[in-house]
Amino acid sequence: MSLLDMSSGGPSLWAPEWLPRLPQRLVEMLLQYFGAPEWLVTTAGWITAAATVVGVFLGGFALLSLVERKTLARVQNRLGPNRAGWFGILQPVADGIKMLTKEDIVPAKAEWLLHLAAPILIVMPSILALGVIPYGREWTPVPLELGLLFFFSVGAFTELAVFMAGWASGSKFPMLGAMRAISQMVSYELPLIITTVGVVMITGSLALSDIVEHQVGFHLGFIPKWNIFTPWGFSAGIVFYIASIAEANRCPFDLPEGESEIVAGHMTEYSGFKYALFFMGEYLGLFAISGLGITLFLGGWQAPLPGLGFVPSWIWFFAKLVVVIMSYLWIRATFPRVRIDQLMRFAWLCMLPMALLTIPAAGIWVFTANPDGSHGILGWLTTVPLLLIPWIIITIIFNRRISPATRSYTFADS
Amino acid sequence: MTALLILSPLILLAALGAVWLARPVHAALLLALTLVLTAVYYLAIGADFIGLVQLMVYVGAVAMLIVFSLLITRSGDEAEEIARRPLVMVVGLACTLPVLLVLLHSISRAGNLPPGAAESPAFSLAQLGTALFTTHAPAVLTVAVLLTAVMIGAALFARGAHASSVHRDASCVTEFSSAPRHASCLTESTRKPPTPNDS
Repeated sequence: MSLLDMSSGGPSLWAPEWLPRLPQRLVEMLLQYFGAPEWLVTTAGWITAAATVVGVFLGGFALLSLVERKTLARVQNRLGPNRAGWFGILQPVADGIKMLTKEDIVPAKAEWLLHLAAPILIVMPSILALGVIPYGREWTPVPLELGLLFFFSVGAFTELAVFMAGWASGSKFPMLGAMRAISQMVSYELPLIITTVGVVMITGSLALSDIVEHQVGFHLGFIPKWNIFTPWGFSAGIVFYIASIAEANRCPFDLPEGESEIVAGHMTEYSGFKYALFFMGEYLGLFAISGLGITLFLGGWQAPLPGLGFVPSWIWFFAKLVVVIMSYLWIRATFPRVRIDQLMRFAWLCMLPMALLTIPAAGIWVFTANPDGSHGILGWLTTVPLLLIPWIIITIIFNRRISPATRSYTFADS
Repeated sequence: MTALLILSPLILLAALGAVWLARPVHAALLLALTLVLTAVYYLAIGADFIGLVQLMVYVGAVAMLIVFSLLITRSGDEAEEIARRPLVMVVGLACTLPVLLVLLHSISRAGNLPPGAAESPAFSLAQLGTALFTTHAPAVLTVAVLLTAVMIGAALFARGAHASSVHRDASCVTEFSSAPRHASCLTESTRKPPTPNDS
């Protein structure tokens, strides 16, 4: 299927399964009823489907900004926002109005065009990436054959946007912040992408819906056949999870906006709604990367236990999304921010080797499979030591701190 | 055809801008734009895989590399004019002309294809991968060796620079150019990193 081609897919027999597609269907049926031409019906259907995804996740963004503050407050034994509406439920609305009515300041030394383009360019890839994730059995907004590749390709724009934001502000702090942010993103994007190679090897496809379909079924009748329940998948899942926190600029890897160190990084010279757009991009990116992690390792939209299939599949997806995002919040509330040298050392000395090791492990896992696709003791006996021993060694190394602590940066001396 | 008509003037304009603009960062960003538009063209003619790889490799990696090198060599944050000396022009033309000639030659040969044979061949990603790692394995391996050599060379350069410079703490990574240097950065490197469990 071509990238610019979209299948509409027929609805299944059971109504709740295609509930998320209802707006698209309604618009299409309405236009057909009034005798609109075919291209208009299809285009309007696409636009409605895209608007559904954007609407759902913008609502999620508003909700998450409130839930995050409330959760952090609960962990820190305080109340959190509790003035706007009941229990502070209208706080996102108040924040939105505040952001929209704030003065939009463009520094005199800024390049106004790049300064304007950066926040737009930072939201765009997150929204595009959200479009290819299979949210349910009947609901993949854009079912691409190269979905996984598309996800990471559009992600390439984020770094460019951060650079543009930092450079176009014409000020020191944004520039320094942008350099930190880009070096962090580049370093953690590598293990992030490498861990997905194992999944692609096992599935034999880059289509995200195929990756989910490959994880259908249960071992021994109750353990789901998710990738996370294999040795290579468990290792890859851990690396992916940590790298995705760093990629989403979440605490403890939130150095790009570390407010106590470099003001707000590349966002320092932004105000008003442009500033809000950066956070919108960050939260939408968080949804996208967690959704991808769920698709790759946690079985996508599938029920965690047999017999729970009567619940619509997209509800399972969003339940998993809530669990993953709450774990991010828990981590944010628990861990202090790391230093930049710790961050980089961890990326290159721990994340990258472990990500690379998942590739041979996944290969062994494929070759030791029985003809019927099940896995005997041989696969476990070879892949578990292959992954466990390096994990133990790296843990020991990082606990003893025998890794180099000093570095020199020639170009920073002048 | 429509895609080519719309995109080619844009690509040409962006490429010309990348060559002619005075500030290096502008040139680099326009180069990135050229690469993005080329990727859009690939997508528009149905070469999805090439288009997405173009985005990932050229925008995600190559453009970022150029931007990084501009900033690290400190020509990015100042409005330095790129020297437009005659010698530079001559060398540039000498590099460009052969490439252009080869391109024109291959285009003129491709022009002899019969019209109406625009049926795109059926192709799958698995076929591409199989071809790469069986038929074209020597080429892939050669590129891998080349890249490894480049990486080792870069590491050697970095080591050479490392030996001749002051040891500094990594927390000063971001202290480029004219930012005031923190005093602790110079003293930090002379002592061991603090270990909290050492009592």
